[in-house]
Amino acid sequence: MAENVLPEKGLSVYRKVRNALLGALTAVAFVLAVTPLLAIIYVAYDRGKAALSLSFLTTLPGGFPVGIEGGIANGIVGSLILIVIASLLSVPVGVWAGLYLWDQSHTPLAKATRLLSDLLLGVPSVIWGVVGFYVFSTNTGYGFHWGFSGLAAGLTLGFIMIPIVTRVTEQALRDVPRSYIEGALALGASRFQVVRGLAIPAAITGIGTGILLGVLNVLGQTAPLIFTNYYNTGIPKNLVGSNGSVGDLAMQIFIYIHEPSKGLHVKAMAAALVLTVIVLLLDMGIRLLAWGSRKYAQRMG
Amino acid sequence: MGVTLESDTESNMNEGQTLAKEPLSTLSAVPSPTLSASSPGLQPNTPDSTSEQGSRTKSVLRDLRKVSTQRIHRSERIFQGTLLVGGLFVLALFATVLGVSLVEAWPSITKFGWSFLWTSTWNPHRHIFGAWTYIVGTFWVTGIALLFAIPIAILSSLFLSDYSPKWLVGAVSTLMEMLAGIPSIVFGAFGIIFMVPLLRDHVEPFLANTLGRHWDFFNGDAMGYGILAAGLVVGIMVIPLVATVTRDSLVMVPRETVEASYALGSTKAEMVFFVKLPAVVPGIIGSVILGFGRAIGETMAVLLLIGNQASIPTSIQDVGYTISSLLANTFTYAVIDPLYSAAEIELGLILLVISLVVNTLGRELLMKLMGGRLAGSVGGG
Repeated sequence: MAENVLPEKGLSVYRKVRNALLGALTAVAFVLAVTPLLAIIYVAYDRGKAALSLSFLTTLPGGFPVGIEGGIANGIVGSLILIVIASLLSVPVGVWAGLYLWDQSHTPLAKATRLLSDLLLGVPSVIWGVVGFYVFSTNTGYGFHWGFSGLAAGLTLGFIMIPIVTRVTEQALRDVPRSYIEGALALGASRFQVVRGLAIPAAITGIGTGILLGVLNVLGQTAPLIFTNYYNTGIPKNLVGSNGSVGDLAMQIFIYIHEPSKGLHVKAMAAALVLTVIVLLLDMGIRLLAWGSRKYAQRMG
Repeated sequence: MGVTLESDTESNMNEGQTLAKEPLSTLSAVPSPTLSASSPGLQPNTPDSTSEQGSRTKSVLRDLRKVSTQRIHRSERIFQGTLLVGGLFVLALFATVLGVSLVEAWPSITKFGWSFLWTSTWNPHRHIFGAWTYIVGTFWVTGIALLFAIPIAILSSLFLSDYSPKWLVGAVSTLMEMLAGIPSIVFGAFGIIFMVPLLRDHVEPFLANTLGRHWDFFNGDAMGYGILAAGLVVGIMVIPLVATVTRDSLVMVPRETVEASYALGSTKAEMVFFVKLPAVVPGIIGSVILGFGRAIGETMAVLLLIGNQASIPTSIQDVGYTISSLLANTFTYAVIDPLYSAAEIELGLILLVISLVVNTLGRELLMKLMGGRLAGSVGGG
């Protein structure tokens, strides 16, 4: 864009001042937008650094009130369990649905599916919690009657992930050049061969990005866990039934910050920093993956 | 300049449509549309041979159709049917979400009817439930958040697109997108540790001493917790979303528009504010709608900061309650009582309907502008 080449003379003072003021206004707004976001990371580090150490990551909470001693191992293990369960549900279903939307994208049913899948992206997380509660956790009426448990929470998080994986998978498949697909079909490949041998391998980085994006979105979810899992200070032996709750980083922060105890607040901020760092690292991984695949595509011409 | 932008977006839209209409399955011979379209066109020219030619065309068409359906092998159709099951999963998921909410809210819907919406009593012991308090609280928080976020987000995206040095743009855009992924519970914890003391000790006494002298709206007990704290923190969460989407539409303003306005002698600020900004109004509206959808479903940060007291706020320093924070806070107690839980789920249903409507609007608008690529984000946390 052309740099600001104002003539030396000829501009009224009013226009000169207005030009400078409006420019300054955008700069101020920019600072206002970025500062709080950086402040969050700084405050989490500043208030939580007293509790940070390697053993904070590897020990279970203890003492009274629970958590005043020890670390967040239960939360890290529990979050991992939840993410694995959520991925086991959402990756096959999401990729499957994405394939359907790509293959039959013109049909009215596929259009409706795409719209509803996009709408599911915007469903508030409390609603997911309520749905998860009635489908998995409740002990009366219909549903699976699993109680507050890791399996119930993991599958609820899987529900949240499905539309994300679906959308990104479809987008990644659409980015595969049509000439590849047409070439394969012209050579007499069946649709299954095209999908298995060509479309999925060509779109695999995009699909991987989608899965990581889903994990990223699900990792910090707290509200659905209030309805389906709550919290566990230890590591559970089974994932179903009354003793099946798992710990979770986000839930741990929520519970610690809710207690009127300065010590727990320090632990909460340290846990918040750990969660933020995990999320940012994951985000960076996604970016590297997308960047790498672009580079690769460029080299292939 | 509006014209050039429009034509630009239109061509984008068409691209998106042709992409969407180029499915895998049309590739294996489907009866050619040009053949069937040409047959009525022939009729007025050759009136004598109409019937003969028409019937011949028809038979050719019939043969073509026969061949084309035979050409799709049964195994191919089975494979397509298998793919369809994946789509049905998504449809079933949507039906589950809507179905569970409707079925579980039904006792409350039938008992209270429409008056549920504007009744402000919420008394579990006497079985009187009304949504008004929580609807008002929700809109207070969303309103404060958007009032705070939208100007900052739009101005800062203008800064990034036109004023900032080149090296800053990439770094900051990436940073913004990354920070948008920080979980809302972290924002909530930040609010309690940092925002609440700041508001309690500095901002709220200041407001009461200045604006509060003239308008009661700014007066109140400086507690820190309340709709102001919740709204500001939700606003901070919404800024990256609105800024990113706005910047994406700013990039699409044609270079000719910018150069034309410079050629007419406008200063940089005049170009940015009076030419570029009006050109991206549809994109801004779309981003604001998405931001609204994000803010209204926000749960954890609001739950921690709003004070959770079922009263209708009259001042900006008041505490309140939102739909999502009520559900997260009390739902596990409410399930014992069928009517109580039904009323809570009806509140959730209201929230669900609002966010579905808002997201449909935002999606349609941005799909038209951006040709199909839309940043997805899950509402709330």
